[in-house]
Amino acid sequence: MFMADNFFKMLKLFLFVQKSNLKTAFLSKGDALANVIMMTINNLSFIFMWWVIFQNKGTINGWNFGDMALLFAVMNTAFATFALFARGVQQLPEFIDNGNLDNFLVSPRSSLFMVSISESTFANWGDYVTGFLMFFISGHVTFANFWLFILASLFAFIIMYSLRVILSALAFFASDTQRLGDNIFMAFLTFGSQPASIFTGWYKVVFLTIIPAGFLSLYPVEFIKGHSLQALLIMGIGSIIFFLLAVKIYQQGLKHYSSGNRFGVR
Amino acid sequence: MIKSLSKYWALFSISFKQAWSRKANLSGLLFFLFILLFIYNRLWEVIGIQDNVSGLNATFIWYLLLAEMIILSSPKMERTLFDDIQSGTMAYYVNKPISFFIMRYCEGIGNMSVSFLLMGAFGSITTFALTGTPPFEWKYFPLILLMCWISSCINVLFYTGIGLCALWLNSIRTLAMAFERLAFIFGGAIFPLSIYPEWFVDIAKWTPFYSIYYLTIKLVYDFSWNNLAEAAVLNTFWVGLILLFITYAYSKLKKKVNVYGG
Repeated sequence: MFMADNFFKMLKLFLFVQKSNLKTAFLSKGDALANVIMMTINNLSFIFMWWVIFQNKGTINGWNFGDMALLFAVMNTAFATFALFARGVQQLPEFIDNGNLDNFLVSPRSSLFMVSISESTFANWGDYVTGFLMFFISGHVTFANFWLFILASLFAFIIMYSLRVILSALAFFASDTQRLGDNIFMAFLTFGSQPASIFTGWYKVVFLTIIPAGFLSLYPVEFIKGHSLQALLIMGIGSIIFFLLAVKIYQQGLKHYSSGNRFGVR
Repeated sequence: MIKSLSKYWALFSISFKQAWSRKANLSGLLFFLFILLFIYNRLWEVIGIQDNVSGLNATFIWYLLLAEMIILSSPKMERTLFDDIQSGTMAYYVNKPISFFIMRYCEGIGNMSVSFLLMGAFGSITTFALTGTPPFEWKYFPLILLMCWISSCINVLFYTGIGLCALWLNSIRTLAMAFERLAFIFGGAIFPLSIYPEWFVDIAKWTPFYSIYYLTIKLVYDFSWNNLAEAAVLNTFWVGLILLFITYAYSKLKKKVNVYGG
């Protein structure tokens, strides 16, 4: 009962913050819209590069452009969710280094939750546009697949978010880790945006363990295309494990945190 | 003149030393570079096997390395300039006996040079280990690297120019990102323009990215004095245009700072 009550309070707060973010973004409607359009163009130009490759080569180890479109659909949708609703976690190293984390620790809500929702980039609505567009041109459009795509994107988001929390929490244990975390996160996204079919043998081991990018590309595509129950299970269990691990590391990190003696509440 | 240059040299070397001391940042950068080389080497290996073409990965991975050295070594100049302008910090510098713009540019070059050198050393060893025989003659390699370093300097100048757009825009992040992506595409930063359709290359030729990235980097697998001269001439032309824009924006900016007082 208490947990449900707590959950609804957090949900209410989350919705309130999102409403404020939207209001802030729409203070300058033209600017907001231009940013979304630019983000979409930005994504589409990257996808265009892959389209050229597939035009030249046909398939790459069995993957065709339709498979890549599915991959980009899931990646972009998951990233949009991260950037719009949980991007604050990317700023965690900065909060830790300059003591701003104090502001979040005094909140009655979970500090990780508060940090996560503290930042949102409106331009990333363009990622949703790209994600849905890619799904609709993938050649795998059915009503059932649409919901599988949404589910796969949700799992991909949880993996993405958990990895980012782990990387950001490094700042509890070492200083000046902002760019280190950013670069490893970028590497993870880069890994995830390649045709999964190129990773065989020990490449596949790295792809699924050290940098768990397979959860963003290989399994979502297998799940949507082939309705694979195994892929669903792996994604589901993988995201739960990664999420719990991220929370655990964050909580361990908090024990190492020394306050910056700053005033103010977020 | 020498005294004036020594001020900027001092800014360059301070920024160089500062960047050198950020070990965690540099390790992250090298890790990312390694992942890129590793992934794309695998991609071209697979395509090479599929198409029965040997050495495909060597050509494309050396190309990718130099492209990434130019792109990844560039610090986020647009954000620095944007913050300076929006926060009014710039007002503190305009009355000093030093050009605010050149000061920031020299700092940017110092920062970039550390990443460029490290990525060059680490990336060359990694690429050599991954692909074997390189697609160029070693005697030309220092010259190719020098051309890429000059391209990196132009790249820093370009993004500094984008930072000056803070004069007209409320947010610079997406604009910079869009330019970054256009540079990736029109400059052939991940895949060389030779694989793109002809109509696309014809469009790319009208952008600065064609010479700053593609023509310069292409020297790694297609070196000739003619190609080098073509890249140098076109780069000079684009530097002139970028400088024209910067001079215009900077003069506008100084007036605005005078009016608002920072």
